[in-house]
Amino acid sequence: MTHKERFLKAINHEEPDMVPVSASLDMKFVELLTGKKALKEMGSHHVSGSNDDSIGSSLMLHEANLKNQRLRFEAVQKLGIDLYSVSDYNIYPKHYSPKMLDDRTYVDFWGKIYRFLPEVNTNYWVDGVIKSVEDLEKFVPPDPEEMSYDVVDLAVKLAGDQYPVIGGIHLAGMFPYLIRGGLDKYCRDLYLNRELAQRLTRMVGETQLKIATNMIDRGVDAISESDDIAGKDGPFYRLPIFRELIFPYIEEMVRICHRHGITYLKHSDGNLYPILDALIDLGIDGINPIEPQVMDIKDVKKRYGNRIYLQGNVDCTWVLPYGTEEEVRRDVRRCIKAAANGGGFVLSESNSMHPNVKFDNILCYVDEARKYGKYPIR
Amino acid sequence: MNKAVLGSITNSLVEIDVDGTKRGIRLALEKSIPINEIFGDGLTKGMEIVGTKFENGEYFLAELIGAGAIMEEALSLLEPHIKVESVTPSGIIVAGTVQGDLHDVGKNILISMLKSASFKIIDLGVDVKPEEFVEKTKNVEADIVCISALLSVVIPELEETVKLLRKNVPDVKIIVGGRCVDEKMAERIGAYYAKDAWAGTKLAVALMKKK
Repeated sequence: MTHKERFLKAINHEEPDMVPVSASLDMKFVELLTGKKALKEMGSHHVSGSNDDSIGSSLMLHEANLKNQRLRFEAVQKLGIDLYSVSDYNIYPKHYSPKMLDDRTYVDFWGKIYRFLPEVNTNYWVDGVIKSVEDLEKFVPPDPEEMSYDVVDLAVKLAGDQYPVIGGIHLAGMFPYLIRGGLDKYCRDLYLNRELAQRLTRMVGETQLKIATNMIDRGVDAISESDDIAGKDGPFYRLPIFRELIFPYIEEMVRICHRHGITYLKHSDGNLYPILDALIDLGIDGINPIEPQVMDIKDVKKRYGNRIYLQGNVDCTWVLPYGTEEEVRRDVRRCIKAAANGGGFVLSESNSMHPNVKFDNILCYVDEARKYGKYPIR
Repeated sequence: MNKAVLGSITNSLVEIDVDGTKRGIRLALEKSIPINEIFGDGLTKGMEIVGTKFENGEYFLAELIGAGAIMEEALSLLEPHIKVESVTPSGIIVAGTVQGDLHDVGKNILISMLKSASFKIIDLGVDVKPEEFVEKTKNVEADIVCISALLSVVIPELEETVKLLRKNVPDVKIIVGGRCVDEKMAERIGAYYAKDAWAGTKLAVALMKKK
């Protein structure tokens, strides 16, 4: 069974030979797995890779992205996992180069501002350029038809018929509040300046929808939409706000996916329980990561497992960064035991294999998944 | 009559209706309703109902922030009419995100809530060194320090900050919160835990009452 067959069978609610395994690897781990240096990608989305040469031109950025996408594929093969992803974070306007505000801070083409903090080897979103209606009126969104999709073409070519290519996308749920300068400001707009929130969300939603559609047209095998719309306490907004601003784009994307015969996975951190029924009613096919601190994968499987597939949820807050080998293995078994029976399950970490995760724990995670994840699950 | 006007302020705030709240405040000022009544029986009462709805899962973050923002607007309408004795600050709070963490959304929401509960806030911003927390806490004689941390990668810095505060300003109350913190961890490092901005505000009020 190929990795792709395993994945497709699982998300179609059948039991493959073993549980498919996903891992969203920071470039630090891609380098460790491949033994090769990645190139810094500052300006596309994140700073990653260890090459000290800065990426100053659009050509260099483009080459870095393609090289790193190749390395990600090698890392997937070396680690022995099943899913290979390509993200819309690495799709950008042709001839784009980041606008550097200082040697660590840059503005991307959506007007999101990021800063690298070497002390913790992570980059952070810090602000956005839209401070007022006037800023929004002046802002020119990227043209989806003038963007480079070479990285998607490369991923599809490398994966061939062996690996499923997961198109990581964003719609209207997250970029608006990042561009606006923060969730607090966006929430404030919802009640004090609704028109700004509506116009900003529409601009982002319509553009991102076209970008995602172009990715599908280039042959990705599944869509994973990654807008964070909830926190520990629950969704950020009440259902009527979701229905007005965010859900129309998810619903349209679901329609497009299904027309192309592919699935739509909804990712969001946090507690999604209060809106989970409504999300599923939109037609989504799967959910990730079912954050273990606030949602119970066993309960979600029991209540929703016949309608959606689950992708999750080995704890990357405590277990993967700080846990012992045995704790990692136990958490892998917990997830598989709770959600793998009958198919409809892909094992993943509960957000990403971020730089603070222990490398040995990643190896252990895959090893245990392969040992314990053979069907039938005992 | 006063009761009806104050009730309309409360209801408008609960409905997260900025125009209605401001209309109510203006009417209350026209009728010379004392500021402490407008604040206490109108606005604070409304904020408490919003908080309860948030706790019950009827309202979410957006409503909490929206109500906080309306409180700020309402207070700016009241400000020119406030005499020194009419609203006394509940206490002095130093707030910031821990060193290595640039995420300030949670901290900003908390500050907005604390302001609406009449606290005087010294906002140290993001990526705050442990020594800076200590120095400012001493200088302003703060009652409470609120520290926010999002990623588990900054946990050592959070621990260090709490340790340094404990050593140098032993009487100050420390509240920690944010995605990477939980009750157990807060207890372990010797701090109070707030699971969200509303819980943090209620905790700060309760800690001041204990003093």
